[in-house]
Amino acid sequence: MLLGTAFLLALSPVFTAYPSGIADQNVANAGCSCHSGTANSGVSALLDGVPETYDVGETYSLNISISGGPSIGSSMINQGGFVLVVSDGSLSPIDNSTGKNATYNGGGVGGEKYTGSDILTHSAEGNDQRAWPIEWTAPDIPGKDIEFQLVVNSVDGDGMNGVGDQWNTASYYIGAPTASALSVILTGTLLAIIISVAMLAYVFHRASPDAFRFEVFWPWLKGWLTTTDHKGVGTLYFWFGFLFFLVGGIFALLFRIQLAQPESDFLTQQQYNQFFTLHGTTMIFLAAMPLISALANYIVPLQIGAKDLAFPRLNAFAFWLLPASTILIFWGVFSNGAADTGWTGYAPYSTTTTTPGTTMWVAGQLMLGASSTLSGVNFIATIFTMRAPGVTWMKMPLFTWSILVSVFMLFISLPAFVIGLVFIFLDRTIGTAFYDIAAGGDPLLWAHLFWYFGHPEVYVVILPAFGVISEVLATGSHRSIFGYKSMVWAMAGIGVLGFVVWGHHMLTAGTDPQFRFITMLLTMLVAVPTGVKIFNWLATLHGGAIMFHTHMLWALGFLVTFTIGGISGMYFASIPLDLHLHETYFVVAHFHYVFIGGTVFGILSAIYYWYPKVTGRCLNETWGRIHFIIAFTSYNIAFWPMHQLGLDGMLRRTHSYAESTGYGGANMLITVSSFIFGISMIILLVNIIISTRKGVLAGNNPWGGWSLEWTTTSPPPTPSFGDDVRQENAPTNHISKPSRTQRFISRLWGLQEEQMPSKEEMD
Amino acid sequence: MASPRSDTEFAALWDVFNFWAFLVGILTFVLLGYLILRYRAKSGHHPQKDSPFIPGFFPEERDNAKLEFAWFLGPLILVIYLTLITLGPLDRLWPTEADLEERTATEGAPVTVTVVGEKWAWYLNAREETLFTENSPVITDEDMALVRAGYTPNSISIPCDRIVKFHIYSYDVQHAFFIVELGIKEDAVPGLRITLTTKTPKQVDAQSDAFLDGNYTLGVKCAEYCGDMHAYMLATVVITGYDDAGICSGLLN
Repeated sequence: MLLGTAFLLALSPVFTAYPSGIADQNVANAGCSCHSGTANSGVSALLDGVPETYDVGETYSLNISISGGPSIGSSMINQGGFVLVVSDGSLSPIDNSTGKNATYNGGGVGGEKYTGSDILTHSAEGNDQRAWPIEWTAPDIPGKDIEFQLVVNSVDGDGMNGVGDQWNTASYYIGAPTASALSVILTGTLLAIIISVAMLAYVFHRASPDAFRFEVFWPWLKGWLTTTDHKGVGTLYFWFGFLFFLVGGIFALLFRIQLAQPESDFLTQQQYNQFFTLHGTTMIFLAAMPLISALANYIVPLQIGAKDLAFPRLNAFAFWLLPASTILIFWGVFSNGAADTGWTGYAPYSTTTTTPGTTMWVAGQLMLGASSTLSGVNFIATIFTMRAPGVTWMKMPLFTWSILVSVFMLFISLPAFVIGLVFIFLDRTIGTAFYDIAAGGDPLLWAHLFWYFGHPEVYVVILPAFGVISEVLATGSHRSIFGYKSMVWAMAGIGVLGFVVWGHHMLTAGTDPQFRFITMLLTMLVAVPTGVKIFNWLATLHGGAIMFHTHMLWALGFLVTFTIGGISGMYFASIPLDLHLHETYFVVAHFHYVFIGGTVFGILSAIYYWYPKVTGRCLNETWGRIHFIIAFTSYNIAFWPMHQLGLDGMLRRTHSYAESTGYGGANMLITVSSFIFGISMIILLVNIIISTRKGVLAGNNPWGGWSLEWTTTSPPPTPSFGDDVRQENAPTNHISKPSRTQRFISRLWGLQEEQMPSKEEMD
Repeated sequence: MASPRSDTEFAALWDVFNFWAFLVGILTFVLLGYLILRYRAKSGHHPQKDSPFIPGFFPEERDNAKLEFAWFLGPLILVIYLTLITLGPLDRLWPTEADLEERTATEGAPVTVTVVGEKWAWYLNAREETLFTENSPVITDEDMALVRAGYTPNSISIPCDRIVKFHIYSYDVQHAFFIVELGIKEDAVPGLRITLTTKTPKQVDAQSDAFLDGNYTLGVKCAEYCGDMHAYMLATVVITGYDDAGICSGLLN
């Protein structure tokens, strides 16, 4: 293990960070402002005269030139241009062919941004040539690493900007080679994980050297690698999802540093764009979905009294597709540019962006689609065919119901996404034109296909959280869920409505007015079943005896944050409001209140609730409460101010913002709170690890739940149940007596006398 | 900070939505707080021992059809109301030809502004384009060369207190034309002409930093992610014709 670590460390110079990298990479990333399109490999940007080392304050003569490109017209004017940026030292013109203080697109704020960097560009006179002599004066500090970034335009001389012109970019270095911050971070994360595992292994080795003998260790490892037991696969899903929850969080924290202050250059635009793209993709597909799969894998068979899932091998296969697809999704990180499209991947940007990782990112998501499909088949087959006697449709635990509905939603929506991804893949690789308007394609086709999947996907990840909350609130307040049937129907209602509201993501996309209006009305209607669920949950608490275990705290916290997220969602349904709020931080606030305040809080509640069933021991309650208080508070401080930022016009996916916008204060607060929220998850991680050994013994049913998972041992045996499992109906009047208020409400609504509990029952 | 002006379609609805959001939120949170305090377990409770549930036994159901119908009906009525009050502003943002003619009679002829987005600049022109139109909205390389030569990059002047029709196009990828203070944005999509109608303010704050020599400057941003320089794809719309007090003098109308 240590040799392996040393080997990786030996490789690490490849990923050396660039300590004095160019702060403002706008020019290098953008190419020439007036010659759009993608970089052309037929053009080479050359910079001669860059020394291998430099002397302090020394001036060096450099020569910029273009090789290749379009044939030049007979006029010999408008032959080419360049922009050169250097990370340190200063650039100077030698003759009138070059000048300093380049601006972008003729001025504006973007242009002002450049003047801060040491930058040189061609002048009007220099536009008629293809080579330019310049000077670079080295910095006053010795031994710095220097980076030159050069963009050249090879122009065809017809005087028409863009038509037939080609451009390319190149970097030159003095000192260490550079690597993108993303490569450095992920390599560092990888190394940290390997070292941590090595250290952990060493600690265990000290305690029990025999366990590390090959004949002992290999069966243990092989057991995990080849497990088909739903509990084993569920555990693998959990650790996979939790790891990538932390990785996605690290991405978020990095770009939060960038956004903490106005006009920051902590990250370049490219890095920032890649970070938020991978953050979104990771959190949705590699964290939320696997964590939900973990719960579903482990709990659903236990709740319905099944021995295992219907297709155990298929289940393991679905899981092992995940690491494979993850490698594809992150491929670009180690190959000079990860996907930079945003998780929404809007065409035609996603079909034309030159970052090499984008194609692999698409391929990785296609594989995720296969994984989800195989996994979903299992749940549908299992729930339909393997329920124990007594677990009828209307006596099935709500968590299992939520998984069933969400899997159906996934099945209906996923094909559209996969088709859309295949189109992008083909557009990028073999030159089809599904999204190329010039060739008869349609960019909006992607938006429709993506959101036809994307919006139901929101419900796919939130419905299981609904299921968890229903279980936890009932057990935690010692009351059976209020309105079980309407809860099931509300989930089904959300499942149906979820498919007809995708258009609200496209209210600003010039869609047909009637389409827009119908979408607006239908989107508003989602509030109805959601409202039913919220009020049913509140009514569940009524008359109960609420115990504030950590899982209950998360569930109650969920009620607060999900209500806020649900209410803010209503604003986007209203077209005139959406015209302003769309793509602003109001959206960021809304979906984080739903994704974190809904899905993640639900998952956290589930972790505290079912951990004793999985390990046989309870998580430490004191640390659990500390975790909840820190995380819940910092989460709200981080995301609530985003509503105001959105109202004030701060846009998502914004690399930076001017100081004059006044966004700075709120952003600093958000960044600090985000770090606290992120660090609080370490408390949970440590609690999970330590409690496996030191947690209080749980017994079969530590919280007093009713469903079948609480009838078996903790942890459950394999197979999870024998042939004699059966769910019965509780004797009537077993539930605690109705309260005075409940009886008052019942009288108010005119319930029949026989429906009222008798005095004896109440006593 | 530049939130939408109080005379925009956005502002009127914003207040109504905030009112109902506040009401629903408060109702929920007060109820939740009350239930938590009122029904907290007394000390000495033991979850397993005191549970009314028997493991493996589906518990007795609790429901109340009338109550559940009430909180089905309440949100339903509210969302229908919120949908209906949105219809008025919609007519102003996308008026029919007849509506526009009617408004022209009282509010003056509309100004048409053609907007073309290209990575990473807005090309603006205060006229209706004939090279590319609603029926032929694809912008060719040749069209774009003429746009770059003939349009103003990242700035335009339009008169105050006038109906303005924006015709929004894109040459390369999706962008979104967003005027923060007017609370409006529409996407620029390759191969589509997207329209939006608004009205320039009749009166502005003459003390504002945006006000100078009878002109009031509004900031424009790109709201749809479009690549490296997305955050810096900015422009200005200068509204002209105000007197020193910031009231539209009508001289330029």
